[in-house]
Amino acid sequence: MPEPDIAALVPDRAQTDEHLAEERATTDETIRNRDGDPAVLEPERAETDASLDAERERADETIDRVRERLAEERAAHVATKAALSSRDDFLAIVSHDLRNPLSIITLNAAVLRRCDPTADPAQVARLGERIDRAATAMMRLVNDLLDMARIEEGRLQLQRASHDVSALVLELVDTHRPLAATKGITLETDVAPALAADVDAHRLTQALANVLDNALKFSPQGGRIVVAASHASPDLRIAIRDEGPGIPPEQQGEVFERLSQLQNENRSGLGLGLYISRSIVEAHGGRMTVESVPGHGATIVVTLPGR
Amino acid sequence: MASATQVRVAPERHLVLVVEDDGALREAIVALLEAEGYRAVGVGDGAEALEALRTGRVHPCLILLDLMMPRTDGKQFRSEQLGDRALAVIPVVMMSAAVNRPQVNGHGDAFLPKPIDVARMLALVETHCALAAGDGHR
Repeated sequence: MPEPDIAALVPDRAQTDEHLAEERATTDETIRNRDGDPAVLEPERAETDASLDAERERADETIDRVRERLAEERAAHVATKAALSSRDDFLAIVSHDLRNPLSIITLNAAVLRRCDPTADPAQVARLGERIDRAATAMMRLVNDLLDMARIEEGRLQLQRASHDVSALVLELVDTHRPLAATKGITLETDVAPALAADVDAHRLTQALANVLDNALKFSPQGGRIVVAASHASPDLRIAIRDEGPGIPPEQQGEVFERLSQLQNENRSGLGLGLYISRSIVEAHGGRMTVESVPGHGATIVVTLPGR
Repeated sequence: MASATQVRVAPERHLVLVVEDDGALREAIVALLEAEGYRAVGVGDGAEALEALRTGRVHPCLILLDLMMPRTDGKQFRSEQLGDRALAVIPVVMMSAAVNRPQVNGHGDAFLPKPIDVARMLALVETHCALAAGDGHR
């Protein structure tokens, strides 16, 4: 075998070198591409990014849900705690308001039992009156609580019939005259005759009595209360105006709220009266509003659908 | 006149100070105590009670003290009373309509729940007044 001609091999070698160079270039390019040619990598990266984003989004959603849930639970916890503590306040105050008159009854009854047969009849009568007053206060509170429960359960039922509302209003005012007299309060009426409406006479009287009681409670000694009733076609309008301290604008929305007096340190009741009154008026399809300029008394207006 | 620095004046035997904001209840307690042969003075809140005691208007053998009152309530009265050497020795029966008994613990020498049990109230008055008076009779 002749010796290979080195010179003859040269072109081969050159060819090979060229090929190798080409290969290397391709490889380099591949490597380069793998390292960072955007044209090759971007779709891949975009895919990876998209799946990462989706995962991140899912994680964020989960976190948000957990956060939301936590906030809900927290709010529910706070609300439950507030409800429990206001229920406790309510129970404490109701029990206080019931236990005091009950004590008054038992104590005065004990005094009465200790009276000998020769006791002054006036003193005996006074003890009887005290017992009566305390029992009446208890009865009123119990009735108000029962009414509150009825209203909350939607069980307030009206027995409506055609009534002369003018007569009802005048009668109500007359029953309040003795109480007004003890405070030197003048009770004036401005009632149009024969105002007719389909109402539950007992409930409407109760609603108006609460308003009048309140007016008497807040009226100054020697003050004046005006009870007016008129046609406000097609409705009936009953307005009870007092000369008490009035109600500041920011509290006017609260006066008809249930237990509006509970947080009031100088409260003289639970604040159920006007709440019950408004519920009764609304059950009749009517409205109850307050008009007041602080320092110039308050007017409670009851609007009832006429016939 | 009694004050925080003076020697305490001996309590008036059978005099009970009734501290209660509900006027009708205060009146009823006073009336029953009087029907039982005690002398009773009623005041409307803790501040009035402190004033009556500090000015020497009353030297009771016992204080019947309501817990829930406007202005100076029972607890405030009690802490003022205990901080005043001349008054601290007067026994106190705490009266309360509180639902939770622990709320009133430690605020008086005895506790009288409302509604008031007449027999229990009279027994407490008898015990404390007799002790403060230094004999077993009233």
